[in-house]
Amino acid sequence: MNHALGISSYLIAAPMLALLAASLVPVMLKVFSGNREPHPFVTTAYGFIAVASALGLAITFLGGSKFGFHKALVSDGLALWASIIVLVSGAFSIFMMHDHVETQSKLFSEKVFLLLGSLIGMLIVVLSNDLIVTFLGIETMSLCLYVLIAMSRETVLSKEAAFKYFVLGSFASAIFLYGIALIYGTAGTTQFPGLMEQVGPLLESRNHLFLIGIIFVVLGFAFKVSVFPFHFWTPDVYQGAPTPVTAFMATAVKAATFVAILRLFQSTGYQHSVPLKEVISWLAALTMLVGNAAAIMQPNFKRMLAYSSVAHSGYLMVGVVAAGFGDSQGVASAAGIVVLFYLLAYSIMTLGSFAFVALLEKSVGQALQVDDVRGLGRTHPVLAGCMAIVLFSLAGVPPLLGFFGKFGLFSLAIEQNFYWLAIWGVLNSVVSVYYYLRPIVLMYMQGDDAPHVEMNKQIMTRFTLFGSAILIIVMGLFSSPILSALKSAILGRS
Amino acid sequence: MTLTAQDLLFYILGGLSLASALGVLLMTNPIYSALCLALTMVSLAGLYASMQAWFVAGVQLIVYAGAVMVLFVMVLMLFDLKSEIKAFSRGAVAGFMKLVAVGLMTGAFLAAIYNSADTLLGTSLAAHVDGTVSTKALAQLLFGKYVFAFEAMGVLLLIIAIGAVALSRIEGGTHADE
Repeated sequence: MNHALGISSYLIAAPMLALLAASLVPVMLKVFSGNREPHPFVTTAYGFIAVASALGLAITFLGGSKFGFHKALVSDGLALWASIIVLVSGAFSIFMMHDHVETQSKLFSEKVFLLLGSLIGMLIVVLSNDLIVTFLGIETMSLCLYVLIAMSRETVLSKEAAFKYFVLGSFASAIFLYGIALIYGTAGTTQFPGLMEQVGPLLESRNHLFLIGIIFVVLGFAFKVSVFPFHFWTPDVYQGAPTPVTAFMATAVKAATFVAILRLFQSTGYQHSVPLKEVISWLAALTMLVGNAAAIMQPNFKRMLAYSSVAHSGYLMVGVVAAGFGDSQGVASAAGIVVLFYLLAYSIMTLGSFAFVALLEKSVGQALQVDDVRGLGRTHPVLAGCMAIVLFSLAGVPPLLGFFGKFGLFSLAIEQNFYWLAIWGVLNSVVSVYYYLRPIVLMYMQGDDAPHVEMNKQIMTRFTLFGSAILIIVMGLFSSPILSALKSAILGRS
Repeated sequence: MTLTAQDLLFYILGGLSLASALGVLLMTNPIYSALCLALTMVSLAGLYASMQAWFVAGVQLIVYAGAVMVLFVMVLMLFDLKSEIKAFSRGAVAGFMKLVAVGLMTGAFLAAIYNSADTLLGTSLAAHVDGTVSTKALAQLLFGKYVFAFEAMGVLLLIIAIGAVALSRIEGGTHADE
């Protein structure tokens, strides 16, 4: 048995190794300078350099269709683009952490270390070619987040959020692991390519033990991306976590986990199980409904965005349904393209909206209400304008980025004969317009008598908001080159 | 079908592990729960040993029944057990819901095993190999095919260690500055 690893294995793992090496620098600096916290700007710079070098290595070495570490890792277009989304979200989150009042403390270098550790976990998830490796990646990513949430300077809500997330997350992980055990027991492998060939025969021969294994694994994933009925933690945790960490959770965690879900559904064999198809379609439909209905009634800004992220998970599940249960050839790749594009769009929009929330939060533990934005259009025209662009894009108004994301998902659903899901999704988008436009109405049409709200001088958070607004317009106008780049990256591997 | 010694051992150890696992849940005194957990670990180790998985059985005994259990009991000593016992949720509705959940889960699994029995019985189990060879095979898998997962585990443990230290030093933590 030959155990030698080629250089290509290490090249695939290079982004993770770079992140690991660089993430240790701020912590080591602190240790060797007598436990004195380095200047936050220095730590932020190290964090940014770590993410930027990982991004460079990912763009250089990922892509094509390569396997590494005895097929434990796969490097394809899906992995490349998901790594880019995850790393960019991580970079902006570090910027916001530098500015935000709840993350500034004597332990800032540890917080950056944990965020980079979480990014390592996410890269493991998106590159993973084996359910066991996916599990380890999800654990690495989640454990860092539990600690990051608990380390907020706010003392009540953040501790509750961290504990809730930790207990429920551990439970979901245990069920996920149980599912892997059942899958290994019935299919005899945990590697995705071999597993995907087994799906058809096993489901056709009515192997219910395998079916339960798949359901458990889907359940574990559903918890991480807050799909109904496993979304109940989302508003509490998003509210209790410091806003930069919330932004990171809402974007990067979702992107990484959805890529893992897509890898699980890259088989036409799922056709043989009608109940599975029904259940996952209904999960998608109900997730959209629950997220949107609850967001309408939310007066708290962060909770509203949390429910909106639940609704977006529902839209993304439509792509997963199309990937797993569509009947045309190569539908999984087509679904990969639209889901990745949607994740890209969604991450940019969500980073912008949470940057806006961070700009308005002044004190530790302040619960920002939607009504607090009244009159901002008069007092802070530029920031309000940027936020209006972000909200219009989240609502799916053409020609902004969010519209093309939704358009791609729903047209894929129609191509694969999931008419009712597409119609349901469009109806839900119409409902969502109400709560996305409410802050815009409040900012521009009300509050002529509102007092002048002093915004924080958070340069990097402002940069995040401006950046996301500009990217939304530019990438919306030039969405077809991005889509074709995605297409060539993903289809190139087959 | 005759009952061999092997089968008898399986039923005894299986029954013991089930009973002690139930004990973990049903005992209200956490110390008794912990001791039941130790018994569960030991009987599971016995099951592994009866399948000639000597290495897994040994690790199960040393790591779980040994190190992890000592840690559990030490942590329990630090807590006020009276308030822990009070924290149990008791009530007709909650109890009913728990029973329903357990029943649904058990039913789903029994149905799944019953329905897949045909396909499962056809597959042959991996040939038994003697203890030393299986340990070597395990090592080869761990450092060969699964080397990436093994190394990722190391990163995970490093992150947990630093995270735990950082958590104790936050405001309100046990080792906070000032």
